[in-house]
Amino acid sequence: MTIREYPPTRLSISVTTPEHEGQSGVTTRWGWDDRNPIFAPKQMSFGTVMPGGFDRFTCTLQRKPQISYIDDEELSTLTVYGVGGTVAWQGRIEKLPDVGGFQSQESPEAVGWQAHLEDDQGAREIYVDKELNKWESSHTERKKVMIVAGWVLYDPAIESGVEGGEVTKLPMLGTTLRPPWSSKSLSEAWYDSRGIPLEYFGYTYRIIAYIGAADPEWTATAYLLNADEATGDEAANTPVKASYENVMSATAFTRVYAVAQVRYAKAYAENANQSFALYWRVAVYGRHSLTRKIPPGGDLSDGGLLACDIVNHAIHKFAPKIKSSVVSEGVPLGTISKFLTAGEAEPFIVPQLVFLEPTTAAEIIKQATRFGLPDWAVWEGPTFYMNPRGERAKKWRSRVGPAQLQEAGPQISRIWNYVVVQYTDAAGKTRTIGPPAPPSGAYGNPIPVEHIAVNGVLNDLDPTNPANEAGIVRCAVLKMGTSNLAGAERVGEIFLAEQKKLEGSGQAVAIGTVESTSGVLYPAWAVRAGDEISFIDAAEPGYRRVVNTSYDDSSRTNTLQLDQPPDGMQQLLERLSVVLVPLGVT
Amino acid sequence: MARGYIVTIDPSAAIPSRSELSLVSAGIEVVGGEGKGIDWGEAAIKAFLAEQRYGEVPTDYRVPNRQITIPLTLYATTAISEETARTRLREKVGLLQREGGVLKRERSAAPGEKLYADIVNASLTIPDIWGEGGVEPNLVLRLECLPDFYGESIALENIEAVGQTIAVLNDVATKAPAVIKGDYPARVTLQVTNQTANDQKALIWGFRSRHYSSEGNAKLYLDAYTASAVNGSKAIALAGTYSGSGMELPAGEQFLNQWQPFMTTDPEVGGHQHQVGTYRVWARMKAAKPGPKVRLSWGLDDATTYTINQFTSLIEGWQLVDLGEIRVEESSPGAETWWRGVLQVYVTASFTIQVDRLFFQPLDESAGRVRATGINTSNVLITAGAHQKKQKSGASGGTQVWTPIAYPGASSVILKAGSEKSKNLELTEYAFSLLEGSAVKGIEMILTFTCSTGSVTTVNIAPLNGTGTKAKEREANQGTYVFGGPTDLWGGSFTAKQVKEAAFGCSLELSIPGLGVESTLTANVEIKVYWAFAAEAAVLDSVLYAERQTQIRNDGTYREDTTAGGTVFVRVSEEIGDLPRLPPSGLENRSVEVFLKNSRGLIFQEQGRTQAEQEDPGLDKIRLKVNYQPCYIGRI
Repeated sequence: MTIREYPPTRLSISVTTPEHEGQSGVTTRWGWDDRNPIFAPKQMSFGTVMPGGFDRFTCTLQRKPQISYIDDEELSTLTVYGVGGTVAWQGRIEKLPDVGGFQSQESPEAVGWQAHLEDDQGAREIYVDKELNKWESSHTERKKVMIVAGWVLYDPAIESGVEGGEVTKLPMLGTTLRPPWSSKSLSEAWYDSRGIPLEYFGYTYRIIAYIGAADPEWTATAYLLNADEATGDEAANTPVKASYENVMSATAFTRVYAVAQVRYAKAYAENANQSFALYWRVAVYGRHSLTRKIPPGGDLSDGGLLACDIVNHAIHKFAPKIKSSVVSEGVPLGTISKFLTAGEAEPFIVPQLVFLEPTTAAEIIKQATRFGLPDWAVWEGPTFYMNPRGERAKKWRSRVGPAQLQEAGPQISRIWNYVVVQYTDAAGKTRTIGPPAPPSGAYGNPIPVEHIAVNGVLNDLDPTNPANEAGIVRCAVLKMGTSNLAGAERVGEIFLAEQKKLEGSGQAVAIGTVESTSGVLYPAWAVRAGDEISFIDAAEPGYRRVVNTSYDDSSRTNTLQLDQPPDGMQQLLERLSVVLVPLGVT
Repeated sequence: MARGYIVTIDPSAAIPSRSELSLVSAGIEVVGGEGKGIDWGEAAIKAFLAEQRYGEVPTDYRVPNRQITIPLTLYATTAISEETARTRLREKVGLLQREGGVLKRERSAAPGEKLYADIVNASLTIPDIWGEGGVEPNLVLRLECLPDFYGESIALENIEAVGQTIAVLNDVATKAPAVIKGDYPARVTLQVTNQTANDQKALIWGFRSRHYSSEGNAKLYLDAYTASAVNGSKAIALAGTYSGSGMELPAGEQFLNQWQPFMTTDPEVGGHQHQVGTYRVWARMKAAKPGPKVRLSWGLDDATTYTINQFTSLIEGWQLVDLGEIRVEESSPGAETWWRGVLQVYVTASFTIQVDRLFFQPLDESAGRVRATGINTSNVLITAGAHQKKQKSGASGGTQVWTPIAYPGASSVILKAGSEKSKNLELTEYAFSLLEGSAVKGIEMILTFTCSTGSVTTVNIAPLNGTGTKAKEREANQGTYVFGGPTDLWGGSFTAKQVKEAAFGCSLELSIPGLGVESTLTANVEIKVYWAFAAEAAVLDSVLYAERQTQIRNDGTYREDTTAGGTVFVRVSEEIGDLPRLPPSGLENRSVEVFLKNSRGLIFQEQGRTQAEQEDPGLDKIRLKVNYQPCYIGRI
């Protein structure tokens, strides 16, 4: 007979109060083996979640409410250690409720350091903004000054379909002069960052006019300004060319307005039906110093930022207690690798991301990662990790019986084989992108959309998809906010891939210990959200993703939620920042 | 009426500040006889252990508190009235309820070993009917105690060793392996005395009994030079190590930017490692430059299915490195069980990496670690947060000129291909205000930088009108680096006058080697000046001060302060793992092996810590004295 070598599952806790003026906090040990009951936690439980990392912790201590104990301090760092020093959980104390009387006790409640991502609720940043409807005409005072100076003013307008109505191209910002005018004429569009410092103003324009670009009276000028009254701070002044592209860098931290302007410096009395227009594409970047990316063969309108850069910036600026392990660019280091969106050789470039209204680092991360749905978590350190799904996953194995596996099983409400995405373009117009029409006769009616994606991107070609097997169209329509075509297509593609995984969702438990794929036993608490587990005697023995864990130390039981975002489809839609439009069939 | 036990509450030998109360004299008597007597609460304990036996509680022991029920009778004697006896008992119970206490029991028939139990709560039931004739029967005293009875302290033979204490615990008289008494892990005190002039910042400890083996390949340490070298590494003579030899992966032998196995745990002469159980693996290593990552990959037998542990980043110099846990199961009785580990390194530049010794900290029975994590600035004042008023691009350093921008902005410089180094950015006029005559203890510089493209690789920073330069090589496109610290004078000294001068500040050079495109860097430096009114040395945190003592006890770890001849013990700043318990030898007469590793460094690399706080440059001699109190769950 062989007795298995069970690993020690004993846990102890270190509680470190916050630093005060350079003096380190006080660290106190709590442990089940402590003779003093005020340091002996009972009913300890903690959990993890993906995305997110360490989630919640609770325990009870036999303490008197009349006394303020040395470690009774909110925001203290609480770390649960295995006997060898492996971190089982780490977070910060948020609540210290207590109960008086005969059974006096304190019940510290802690949350993972991911909560720090929501501490600063005043986070504002312009990562990249190409939305044209933020560009407006100058305000009344400015107009008054210019009219007094002899200028004839024309308001800017958003023009779409400039290039043949192709929705693959961004609409443009039109600054149009309409002759005749008596002395000089001007049209300008203003971008107001609402106090957020601007670093770059990228623009490209092309001319559509009855006079040539060679006319020396034409001037196109881009400005970065401190105030909305005058244009004297910083300008990129060029005679009008047939087409032109430039990126203007702010030389001071105080630039908060961008202006695109065209003017004609003398009278023009030609045919009143003529118009002289400059059509602009614009991209504004805040002062975050992140590297602007333009894909090979693309132009300014295709440019943007990498999600990993945005995430690093948000953490550094708005959640500084968390250390980011995300490598922006360059060589992958160890288990930390460059963030690539799933299945791509090159990172996806986030085309539009602006937070003019106050928000949090958590929201910035959510918005930046919705085009790839990577795993991200705040683990011990506290350190932020982000990687393609499953890349850092530890693999475990178990059996259906001991793990008490419960499966949700297939549900029709989770089966889709087509997806159409509605999005708002930079001009504020609603656009649609969807899959090619189903083969004639084989399936339902064609799906009318403005742009058709490549076959297999927004339609599931998998013959084992139950909808395909049944020969029906189950088409989901997603509604998302401002994006470009590539972003909308990306979100639809991810939705189609992810919703299929919900079918394997369920719940299991690991009691006492859990076995790795190498056959080594670990304490049950070693399983974290983001890991994968196989039930080797299940009908479907493949790996299932653990998305949530909840460990109860009294029973040494880790309850695992499998293969489902914590709130199922709703969570998936939230991560993608889309709304599933009801079609009458759910 | 035969008395089973002599029971005493708060015996003066165990708890000197209390008044002893005997439950078998002075008007108090335990009721004995058929179906009566003391219920020691053992039935509940045995039921719990049975659950564990059948797997309902799959791992470890967590024995509930013991509920002891003592039937009592009060009576009058010539010296004391029944009323006085009741008062004494009631007041003692009240004290136990408020503050706990200690119970002593001794067999009355064959007096022998005295056993004690810690009382955590008490209640006394006195019947509503008064006794007659000076006798008050039917009282019930209920005591909630910690589950283990413990005996009086037993000393084991002292052990002296350099750099580590790994030895079987021996009996003082016989010098043979000690038989640890009891049927429950014993309360133990590891009394560690530092016999050198070097403070220790970490102690790692553990016991091995169940899986103890005297076999050479099952030791709790492995000299690296005896292990198998792979991929360019080799055993060399190496000063500053345990054996005078070590394993070296020389510069030029590294595979850059990939994980490179360079040493296995298999002995060079053949065989394998035979430790059984759960261990934390540590390595004493040295890196010529900071930054390499090291990890352990391991598996049972041929490691065909292996586990890769979390990596650790190295600092420069000697250090104790955490390589994670291994868990080796005995395959089947009589069969050989062995495991194999492979050390792997990941570097981005080629330089020498050396290994002195691996340590296997046993975790199964009782283990832990203590660290000195406190940052002591209480006797050192800080003048912090001052920002420079003046910025300029200096004449020295690289080629690229800085654009000075006043705080809260940050000066910027553009680096280009072929012009990858900035000139020195000189930041001055910090406007520090220090009392004349105060002593400058340390200078800390906090660099905050961003980089539009690529990653800053090298930072050179130096105080102006002072001495010393510090460099850091690490790739990052933005971040905060801390140079110096509370006791770091950058290799020289500073006066208060110097620090107050407008010319005091720092110069800063940044570079990005191999830059292919233009990159804009911004930088700002905050300086903290640590100072004291007089020139006394700052006492930094330690778990074991030079020539002082630390006690790793069952109620926590306490270190002696630095005062000569001082006997003040203070709890150490961080304890992780168990409170120590010594496994009993039992019927199997198992030997118990102690593992104790001392380190001058903090054993984890943490941001904001100085090199001096983290490295473990030497091997220090310590003396270990072990005292234990045997513990019992069953009746003896």
